Amino acid sequence: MQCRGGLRRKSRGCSYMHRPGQGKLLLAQHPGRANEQEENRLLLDHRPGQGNQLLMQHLGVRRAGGKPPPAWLSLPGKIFFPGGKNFIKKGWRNVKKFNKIMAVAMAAALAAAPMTASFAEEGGDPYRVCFVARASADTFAAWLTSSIQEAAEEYDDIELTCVSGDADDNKMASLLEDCITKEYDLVIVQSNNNAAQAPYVKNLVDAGIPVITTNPTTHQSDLDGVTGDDEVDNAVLAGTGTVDADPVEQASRGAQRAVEEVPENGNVVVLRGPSGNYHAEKRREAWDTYFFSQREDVTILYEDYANWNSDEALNLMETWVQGGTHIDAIISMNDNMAAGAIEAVRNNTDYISEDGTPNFLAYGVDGTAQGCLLVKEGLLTATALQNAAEIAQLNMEYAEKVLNGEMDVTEVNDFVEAPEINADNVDEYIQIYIDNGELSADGTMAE
Amino acid sequence: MKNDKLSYYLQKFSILIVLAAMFLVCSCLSPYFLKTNNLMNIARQLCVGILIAYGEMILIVSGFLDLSVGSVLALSGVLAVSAYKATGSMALALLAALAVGVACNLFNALFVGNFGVPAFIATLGMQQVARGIALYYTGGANILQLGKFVNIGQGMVGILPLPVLILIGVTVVIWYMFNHTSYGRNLYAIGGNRKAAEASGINSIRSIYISYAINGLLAGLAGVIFMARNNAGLPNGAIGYEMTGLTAVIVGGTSFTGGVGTVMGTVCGAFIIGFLENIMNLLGVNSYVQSVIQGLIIVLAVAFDIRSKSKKSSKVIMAADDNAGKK
Repeated sequence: MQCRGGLRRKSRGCSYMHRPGQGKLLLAQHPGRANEQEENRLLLDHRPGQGNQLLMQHLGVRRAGGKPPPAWLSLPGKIFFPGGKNFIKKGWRNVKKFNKIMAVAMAAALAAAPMTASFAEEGGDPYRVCFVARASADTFAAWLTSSIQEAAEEYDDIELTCVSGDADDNKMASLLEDCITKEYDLVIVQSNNNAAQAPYVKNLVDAGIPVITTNPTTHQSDLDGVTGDDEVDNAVLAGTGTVDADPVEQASRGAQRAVEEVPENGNVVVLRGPSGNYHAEKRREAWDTYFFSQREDVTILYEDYANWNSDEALNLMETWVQGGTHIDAIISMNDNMAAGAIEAVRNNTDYISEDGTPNFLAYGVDGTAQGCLLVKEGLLTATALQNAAEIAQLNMEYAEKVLNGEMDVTEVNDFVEAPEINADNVDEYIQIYIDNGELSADGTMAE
Repeated sequence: MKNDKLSYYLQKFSILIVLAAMFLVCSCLSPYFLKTNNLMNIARQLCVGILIAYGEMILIVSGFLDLSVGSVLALSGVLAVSAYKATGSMALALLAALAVGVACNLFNALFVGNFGVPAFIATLGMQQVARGIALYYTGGANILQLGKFVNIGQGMVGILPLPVLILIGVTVVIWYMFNHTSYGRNLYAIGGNRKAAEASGINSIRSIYISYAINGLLAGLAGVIFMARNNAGLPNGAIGYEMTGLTAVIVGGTSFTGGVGTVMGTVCGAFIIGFLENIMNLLGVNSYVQSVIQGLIIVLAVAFDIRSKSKKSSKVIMAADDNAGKK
């Protein structure tokens, strides 16, 4: 299997172990697959006048006649067909009516669904993989989702389902529980809040479903609590694998530059991602480690949560620039927020001189298309790439290996690199976005 | 007599008094608050919120509401951006946004007016639908490279930002509509008592359609300004903005049960929230603490407004009792 990522990556202790027969073992571990095949057989066996009976039997519906119905069975009848004096008898008739309707509806639904039998004719069911994204309305998560969908198209033996947690921990929990019910062959999880999702990820592991956590990694400490021992705290959750980018490494790119670039006694503002988000917190920690601890002369004028959002950052920055003190640097935990903050000063003569050169510095993370354009304009000093396409490709590559028994899921432990994007190298990254259609070649109009 | 007049004006303009008091307090708390640039910023930041609030006010006065406005704003905004990028025409982009806003709201009106679905449910559904379409259409990614599209959100006309000028124009139209047209008066009548309004010959279904259509126009316009301000088509933008609009309307004295509300009140409500957010950001108050303070002040402002109005009504009842006694 070739890695199709256009950029370099480093592997941490990856080993590839071929385990013959594991694919069959996986199927054997999921009795629900047999049930599915049974349902399909019933559908294929459908004959006019007989199919409904088969389906009714399959659904556990009793035939009319024989023993009188128990009284409790009239309850659905009463609910769906209320009224009538002899409600038990009427209720039973209504139950039959209701069950017939349900059976026909289910038959229609099953017939409408694409049957996996078609794949079976070609040599076997595809593996069912679910990607649980943290949110569909998050720019990076959306990029990752579309990249995973694109990457999955390369694999004929994988049928991918993508669901979104809408940045809601409760919804994430439900989706992860659903993955057990639906007996996916492998689940890729992008947590919204590591600690909140860790118990549900563990439930997946306990159910025998291989799990890869991605952007961010779920750690054992997310489940057990932080011990203070880095080795223990940074260990990947037992039984899972991970494909991620290192948030500390990403943020350190800008932070190390800033040590040299931010003027003495400079004033900075800090825009943070959502509280509790692993990448948001770790990127902020990296700025403490690599910048603030070494530049104690620097003052943080304002610091607030803009929750990865451009519009929230815009409103914050518009107000902050009225504070009377010149802001020497915008330190943002992602490019989206940096872009919003930059929009707030784009037309401000205190921040952009007459010849268009800015007299402020700005640092982001992610290397999005928008971030690259801002670097090109000279408004964003530097950012670090978090390549969703590469993360997606690695996820699918490892998923297939695990599903085919070529390696164990716990051996999946890969972190993509975070190259710095600055004025010197931005053109090559813009070209990547032009090639994938996200930016237009003339840089102004077409999509 | 003089005291009665004074208390009448105090009660009538209670929300204005709250706003003036906030303005004074904010001026004392930060020397930067009164700077022209800062006040202009507040106005610019409030433009989108006030446009949404006008739409909500029209609906709430007539006894309805719209929870889909944030999503419809995002959908019309990203489609306007796409239209602009495809054609280069600002007029077409604006037209696309307004058309999408109106179309979404006509669906709301259909379910609320014709099928009798509660406005809360119908618009909650549209909230999901519109956001879903916006995300599906863009693949969740921001649309970039907006070119001159940004002028409508960032441009200046003389010393005034263009969005503020647009807002002033819209305010005049909405004020005229509420105070000098039969449609405006019909809204109060429907909101006060829909059956009585229908009995007196008002076509409530028609009014519902017009109200939602106007709400859609305002959401479309707000969407264009929002995207231009952010220099990007943000399918995930304006999440929760329906609450921003509703808060401004309710703080501005509009009754949630319908039949009561003024344009001036809504503008004051929006500025009370705007001043509050601005001063807390200027003072560097943590955003979590901001939420607590904002919530408390909103409740206090509304309580003050309700109390002053209930005093007024109890005085009217007492006066009526006195008159009845004299007879």
